[in-house]
Amino acid sequence: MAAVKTLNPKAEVARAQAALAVNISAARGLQDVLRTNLGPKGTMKMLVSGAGDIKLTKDGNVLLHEMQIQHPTASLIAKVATAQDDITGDGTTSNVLIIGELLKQADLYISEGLHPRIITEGFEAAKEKALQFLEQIKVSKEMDRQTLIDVARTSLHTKVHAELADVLTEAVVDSILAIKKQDEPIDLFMVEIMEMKHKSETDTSLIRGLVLDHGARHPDMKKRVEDAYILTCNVSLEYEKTEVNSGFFYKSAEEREKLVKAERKFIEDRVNKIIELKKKVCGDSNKGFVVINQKGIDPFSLDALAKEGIVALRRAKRRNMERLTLACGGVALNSLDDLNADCLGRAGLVYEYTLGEEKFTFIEKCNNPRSVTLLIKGPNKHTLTQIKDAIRDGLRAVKNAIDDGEILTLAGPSLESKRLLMRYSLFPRCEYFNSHIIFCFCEVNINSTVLAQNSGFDLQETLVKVQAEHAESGQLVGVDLNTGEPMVAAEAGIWDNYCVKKQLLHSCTVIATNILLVDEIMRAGMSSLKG
Amino acid sequence: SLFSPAMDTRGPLAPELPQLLHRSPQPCAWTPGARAGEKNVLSSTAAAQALATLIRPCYGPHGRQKLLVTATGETVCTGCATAILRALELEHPAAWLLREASHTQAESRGDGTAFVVLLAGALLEQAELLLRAGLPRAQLRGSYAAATTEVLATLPSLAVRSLGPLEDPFWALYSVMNTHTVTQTDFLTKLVAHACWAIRELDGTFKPERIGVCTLRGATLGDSCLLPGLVVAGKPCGQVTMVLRGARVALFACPFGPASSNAPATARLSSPEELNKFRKGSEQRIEKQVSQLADMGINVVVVWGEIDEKTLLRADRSGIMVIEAKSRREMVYLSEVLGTPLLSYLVPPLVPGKCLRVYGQELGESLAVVFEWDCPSSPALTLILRGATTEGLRGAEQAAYHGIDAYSQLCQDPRLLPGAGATEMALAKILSEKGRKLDGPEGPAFLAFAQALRSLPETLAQNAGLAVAGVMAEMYGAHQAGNFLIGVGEEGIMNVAQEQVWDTLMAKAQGLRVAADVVLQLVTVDEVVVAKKSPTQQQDLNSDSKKAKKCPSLVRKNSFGINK
Repeated sequence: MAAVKTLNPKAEVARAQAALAVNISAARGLQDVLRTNLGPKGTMKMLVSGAGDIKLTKDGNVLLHEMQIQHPTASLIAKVATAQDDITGDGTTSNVLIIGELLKQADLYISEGLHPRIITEGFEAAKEKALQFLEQIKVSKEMDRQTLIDVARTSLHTKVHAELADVLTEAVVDSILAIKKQDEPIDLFMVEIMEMKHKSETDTSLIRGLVLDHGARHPDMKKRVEDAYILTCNVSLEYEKTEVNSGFFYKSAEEREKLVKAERKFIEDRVNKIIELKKKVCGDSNKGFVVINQKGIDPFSLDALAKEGIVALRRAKRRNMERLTLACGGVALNSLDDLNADCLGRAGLVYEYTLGEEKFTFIEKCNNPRSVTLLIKGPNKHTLTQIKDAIRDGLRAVKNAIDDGEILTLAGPSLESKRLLMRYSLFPRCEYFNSHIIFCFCEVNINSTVLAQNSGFDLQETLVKVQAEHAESGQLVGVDLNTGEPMVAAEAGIWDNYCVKKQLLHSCTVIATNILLVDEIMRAGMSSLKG
Repeated sequence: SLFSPAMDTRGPLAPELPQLLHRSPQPCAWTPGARAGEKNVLSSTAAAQALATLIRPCYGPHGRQKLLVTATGETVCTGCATAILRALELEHPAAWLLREASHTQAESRGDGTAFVVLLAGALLEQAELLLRAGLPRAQLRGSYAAATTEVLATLPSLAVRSLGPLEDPFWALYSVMNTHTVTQTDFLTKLVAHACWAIRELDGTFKPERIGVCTLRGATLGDSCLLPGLVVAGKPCGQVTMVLRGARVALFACPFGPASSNAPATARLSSPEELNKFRKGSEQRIEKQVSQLADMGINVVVVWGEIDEKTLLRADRSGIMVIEAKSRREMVYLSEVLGTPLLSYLVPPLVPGKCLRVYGQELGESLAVVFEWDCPSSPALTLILRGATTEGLRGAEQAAYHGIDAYSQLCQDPRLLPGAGATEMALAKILSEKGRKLDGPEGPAFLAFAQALRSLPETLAQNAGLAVAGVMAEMYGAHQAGNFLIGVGEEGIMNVAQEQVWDTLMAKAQGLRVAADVVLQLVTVDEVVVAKKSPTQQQDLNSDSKKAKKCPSLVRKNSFGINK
């Protein structure tokens, strides 16, 4: 009888082995749920939210977020794994799988009577060794486009199917290269992600410029302008109410008419200023002029602008204003007082695209844009969300690769084989127990085996092949998922982020240690929180 | 000692702790992943097949209809797969995906929704067999994708006919429309073909929105006609309700009357004289404005905004017809067709829109205004459908839209494929020939795809009430002999080229792609996790059905823009 029970007879308690068993089975349960989703050949899960939205995904992060895990241990693991995603953008599924496998190995030793504390110490030592090993095998490379493409491809192939991943890879890498500035951290917000429910998913593309999800609101405005000046402003071009409560009085119809005109005068002056500038910079040439305003433009102003051949967009999103100046150049104006030609940005092509009820404005062919748009296309909503999640991870992977300086380590499947290497090299030198534990850390070949299994190859056979290949060549060997044969990952251009793997080793060891050291689980809180 | 005494014995699992994971089926059980997941794919196959079974009788020209009672109590009799799917309350997420796929097809191509559902169902059925045989899902997906690419690459080579730029589109539209209407297809197709033909511009561009379709209950379908003009929801307000000759139109998106300021404005009058003066002044202004219009020869004014009584009176006196429009979109559209700007001040336009006559017309319960042109040079046409029942009219309307859609696709890509299941059989033959030579998982997948394609002509034969096995055997034989123009007709096999049954290449290609896409997605799903239902879903469904209902006869179809 647990002591808590005497204090609170309603408390639920699991102790010692029972607690451990619960924890381990939770971890392995989670592992079991996610194992089929690992790697480029992993299967998908279909998640249906309470509101009926469908998500199709194999991204560990999305899965763990959406699955509404209730078991305390499992949700603890899920939180750690998703924290991994927050930091590095990748490696969530691997994390869960490794935690599960570590606990499985630990379970064996515990059942033989080894104290958990010893195991955790062993884990810690093994982690140190693994990190050292990681330092050894990491490769410094110049982050040229090809390398970045390899990194992005490795990440994206594990999120979406191959054809789509190849399309996304190029788009993601090029977008990062476009916004990257020398010696400045990369701001991923400068890559706008826009969705369009249209055509097929492989039509997703990178727009070197901006896509706004609204169009000009006047039928007479041109749908297509070439070689255009872009005026970005945040100036109201519509009638605004006075702040004090005011009114007009009139005596005759003429007076009334005058009042109406005077009311408009203020706005008309602003509009005229813009029109003057347009006349000045464009002259009689064919150049276009586009006004993009964060505030409103009323029908009268639109009319006046349209007459002069100016395309005007109102109510642009605030974040787009910042991106606009980065993409096209120029300055975003908050008042028209200091309006001059230097404030204008340039774009080679501005056009409107209508999709049923929705309108999109494309601003393209900008000179050296510092902000770009990834235009996601897909036939339905769940495809769009899937691509969006994948792109997010792809962007992070590329950013990590650049941020890590020139450091990279060998990729996915082959990382696991380095543990094999470790196992052989460390065994003779360590103390008995620790070496045993490190041995079990090494057993975490889980990723290789799961990858092989997901691709439909025999698990044991593949593993043996990889081990043999590794012992023979001393190189870092992975599994070729198309043939089931071992391959040298570096040659195949499969690269992974250093920081992801580092973080992975840290977090999975910590959480496995934590879980192993739990000796009692209690639920003795308020009953209202139950279930 | 290193061994703690407490660790010696291993107790049982703590049963009192709650279940491991929310809704995940037996996470404790150590079944290998592949096996645990298999059940789910199979169940999504079952859902897809249930849907396919439902739609099957409605496929093709001999398809039957369904009587639907929607959630709102409305009774609809239709053979249109989109409408049937919309009316269904589906529970299984795989079925939702399928429905969405068919909606995508309907939105972008207008035709082939039943085709998508049936093909997807058949493909999943074949996928199930392959999965049962032990093919891993990743490989299944890969080889299905390869088969799809193959199919889409082969498809254009089967297009044996194309609609010439100067050809009467009647024969090309006939089979498309024949799938959807019940009676008098000939007559209806002739009307639609004529309308399309007339609206098409010389350079080959075709704006489908220039053809309006408008249903009017009464008389028979045979009384339907083409009106050289356009029907706009709105009502004539004043005394002048028609202009029968030389209408000159101005469009205003502002109140018809004295302009009002945004800020509250009050008349401040201190004596009766001032009041009189004010009245006179404003009357003069109105008179001036209206006479300005009249001087320009404007005799029709369409207003989107408030209509002032006095101004209206004045307009009546000048013989100007004042029409109150119902929506801004209609105004923009009118402005486009008439070629006159939408004005935001009450001043006459530089170029008034010209047409022959303008008159009010009662359409069912609502009032409409008809703008008519001289017959040959009309920039817009309206197809007026007559019929005794709402159901019949709805069917005819559907068919007309399908015909117009098909023509607009033909203007972009004039190629046509043999219809009546001939294309499917030909594809199946090519695929199975290729599949037999392929190694690895692709071979069986190609054969499976071919088998799925064959199910479509089979369905056609079934719906036509033929002896399926015999017809299929005959057809198979003909195709093996290389005659790929053989399809399923009313009385057995027929030559498609002789009977003139054609499908547009665009619609077919898109349908194949959409169906394959949804299948490729579904075969990779190994688990379906459904959260508890929240009340918002109910609302979603409601708003959906509202959207579906909001299709009165007058609203011009707006999904055309997608065809770009």
